[in-house]
This record gives sequence, C-alpha cells and structure tokens, in this order.
Amino acid sequence: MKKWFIKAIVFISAALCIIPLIITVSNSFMSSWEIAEGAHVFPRDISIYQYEQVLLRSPQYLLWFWNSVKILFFTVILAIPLSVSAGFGFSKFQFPGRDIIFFLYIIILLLPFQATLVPQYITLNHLNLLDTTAAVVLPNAFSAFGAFMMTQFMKNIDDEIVDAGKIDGLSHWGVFIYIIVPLSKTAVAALFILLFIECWSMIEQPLIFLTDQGELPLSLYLGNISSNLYAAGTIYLILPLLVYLLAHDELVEGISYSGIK
Amino acid sequence: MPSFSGILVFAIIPFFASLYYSFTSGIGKIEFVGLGNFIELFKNPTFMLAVKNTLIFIGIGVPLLLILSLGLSLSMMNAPHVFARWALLIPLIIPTASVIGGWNLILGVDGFISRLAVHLGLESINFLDEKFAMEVIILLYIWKNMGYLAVVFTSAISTIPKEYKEVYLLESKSEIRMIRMVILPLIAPIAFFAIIISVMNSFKLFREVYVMYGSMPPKNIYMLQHFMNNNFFKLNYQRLATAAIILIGILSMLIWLILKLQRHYTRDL
Repeated sequence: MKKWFIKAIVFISAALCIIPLIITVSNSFMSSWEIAEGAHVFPRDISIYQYEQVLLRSPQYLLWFWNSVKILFFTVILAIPLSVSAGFGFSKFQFPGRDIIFFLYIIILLLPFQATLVPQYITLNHLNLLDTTAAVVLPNAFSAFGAFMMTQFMKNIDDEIVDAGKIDGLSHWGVFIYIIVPLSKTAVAALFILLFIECWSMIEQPLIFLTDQGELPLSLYLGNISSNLYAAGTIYLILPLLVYLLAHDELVEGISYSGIK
Repeated sequence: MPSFSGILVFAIIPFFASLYYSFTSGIGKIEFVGLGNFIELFKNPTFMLAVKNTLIFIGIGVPLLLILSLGLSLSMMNAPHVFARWALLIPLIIPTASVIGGWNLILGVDGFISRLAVHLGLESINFLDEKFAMEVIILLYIWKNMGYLAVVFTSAISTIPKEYKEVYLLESKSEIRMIRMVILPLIAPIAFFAIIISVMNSFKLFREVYVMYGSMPPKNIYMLQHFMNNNFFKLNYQRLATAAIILIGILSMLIWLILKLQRHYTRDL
C-alpha cells in the first residue's frame, strides 16, 4: 500500500515534467483551425500545415535556426579542448597559485551573467566583436564550468597511471593524449550535452551582444511569435532531445561529478 | 611542462582580463562620486522593487525546490524507476522556449487547468494573468531544476554505504526515522552545494520570464536581472556597475554564510 503510494507520487511528478512537451508536440500536428477550437491534447486529423508554414514559408526561422547551429558548433569546438586541457592542468600538476586560480574559477562560475555584463560588453566592444557570432561564442567557449567539471573528474584518475606513462617515456602531451583523454570520455560526453543545452537555450547573451536581426539565434524567435508556435518549438527541441536519448547515462554521471566536491 | 603552461596561459588570460574589467569599470566610477551611486540606487524605487521581488522569489522558490527534489530522490532510492529518471531531466534538456506553446495551453484562459475548473463548477482561471506571474515563474523554476537536483541528491545518497542503512533498519523498523537519522546528516554537505546552485540558477530564470512575458515583465516579477538589463539598454553604466557590485556583494556574503554553516555543521558531526 505505502509502496504504491510512493510509486504513484514519483510517476506523477515525472509525468508532470513531460506534459508540456507532449502537449507541444501533439498540438504541432493540428491545423490552425483545430487549434482555434480550444485546447485539447490529441489531434483529430493529423495535419502538417504548421510544419509547412514554418519550414517553407518563413525564411527567418531557417536563418535563425542556422544561427543557432553556428553558435553551437563553434562553442563546442572551442570549449571542449580548452576545458579538457584546463582540467588536466588543475588536477595533475602542482604550480604556484593553482588553488587560488581554481577558486577564482569557481567564483566566476557562480556569478550570474548580469553581474559580468558590463565588463564583457566593454571587452567585446574593444575587440570589435559585437554583432558577430564570436560575441556569443567566445565568452561561452572559455567555460569556467567546463574546466571545473573536468578537474573534478580527472582528480579521480589515478596518479600512478600518469607516472607509469611517464616512465614509459611519454611527454606531458603524450600523457594527455594517450592516457587522460581516453579515460575522460564520459566526462567529455557529459560536458558536451551540458554545453549543448546551454548554447541552444541561450537568451541573455544574444539579446545584448547581437542587435543585428540577421545574427540572432532561434531561442529568441520563439518568444516573439504567435502562429505555428507548436511546430516551431517541436523542430527546435528535436536536436537536444536526440542528444539526450543517446547520452542519458553520461549526463547523469556528469551531473553527479559536478555535484560531489 | 612548457607545453602545458602554454595552454594554461591561453585559458587563464581571458579569465583574468574579464576579472580585471569587472573590477576597474565598477571601482573606477565609484571612486569619482564616492558612495553617491550607492545612495542614489537605494533611493531608486525600481531598484528596491527589483530587490524585493528577487528576495521573495529566492525565499519561496529555493526552499520549495530543495524540499521537492530531496523528497523525490528519497522516494526513488529503493527502486530503479527508469521512466521517472528519464523524464525528470527532460525540462533541463529542452529549451523552455520550445514548449512555451504547451505551457500556454495548460495555464491559459482556455487552457486545461481552467477548463477542468469550469468542469468542476468553479470559475475559469487565467494563470497567464499578471497577478499570477510570481506563482507561474516559481512553477517554471521548480519544473526546470527539479530533475537536476534530484540527480545530485540521488548520487549523494548512493555514496552512503548500504550497511549503514541496513544496520539502522535492523534496530528500528521505521524507514522514515532511518532517513532522518542516517541519510539526511550524511548528505548535508551536498545540500549546501545544492542551495548555492539553486540560488545561482534562479538568476537564469531570466530566460523563462523572457519567453513568457517578453523583455518587460509584469511589475510583480520585475527582478534584479531585468533592472540590470534595462539599465544596460538605457546606457546607464554607472548605475549598472553599482548594481552589479551590490549583487556580487550579496551573493558572496550568501556563499560565505552557507560555507560557514557547512563547516560549523560538519564539525559537529
């Protein structure tokens, strides 16, 4: 009896988590007439009217989608090598000031975006990067979070393995590439998903650093439209959902690592 | 070592540059007018409104979120719950913007909750009305972050050796007392970490508010992050830098307090 009660609570809260997703997807298959009839969950006639409108009649959607992909691609390409090597440095080397620098990383990690908005803006302005993709990519590519997470993970890699590699004649780079990187695959996968989510749903940064309509990512688009909202949203969430389905276990492990200090 | 220090410098310099800017822009201006900026800011009704709303939001949202996600991970600890573990992280994965249509259908004037209320003989409710804005964003905040914290708590619980729980259960049959006496004290350090993370994540709610209410949210959820955004567009950098310093000050005090509490608590153990 009691067990069933607990199970029911867990199930209901899990269901509540995905209900908005289900409603969005199911409503994306309704024609605009059917939506006008009032809220219901399952479409009577499956219609691809909304998808047609979004994909074929609104060039802005496609452009912004492309912008999102661009931002995501460059951020990930830069952030992952930087985080992995920073993690290697923090976890496997003793150098003066290491702990202080790591502490500064944690502080930076915890500051909300709004607190560092002005310095970031001034820096980007000096570098003439405002209104370009780089304005959104660079601040995210030097990810304090990525370095923090990789450090936490690599602290658990046995130092003896590293020493063994050195005795066998590997240089620092050799240790890094042949020992550390292969052992960190799970953490890299988790970091990839977390960066993916972060880039894909970013709103604050583009809102301020990009004023050119042609450069904005899709995350800003959906708050500003009213028609064909469900199909636009569904197309937008397919990619993160796919990544999640493929790497659920790695994500959970990654979150656990960033949690345990 | 040389190759490694190269990479270190490459990663660290931008970080220091930003740190440098973050202090000079603020402190430089404050030095010209002394505390004038601060006094002016505290007399500004919009700023005080933003502070008040932020405190209300954190004061209600964070404890609620912690209790719910801790309760959830405690109820999931004895069974695999594959579906639940999968579904709970979905809100974290998908951008809120993409399911905003779904939320509108649930909360709107003709939405599911409202229609259910009418069906039960009550009046229809429009949760998208401005007067419910605070409740709605707290709901979105919990929805977004509950799965993440549940994973953090679950991993903390799973590091507790099984024997501890079993020994206690041998002496006392009550599982609830076992949770109180064994599990809660052992995961307390993680709880402090969870509080810090939740407070930080509450500032990220800017996104959800933006997609729900646009860049000018209703007055009752006008928070510090909106105040700062708007002053940025007004090009009022002094005021913005002052607000940023105050924000950093409050946050670091909070973190310091939590860390101190944590140290105090773990010493007692």
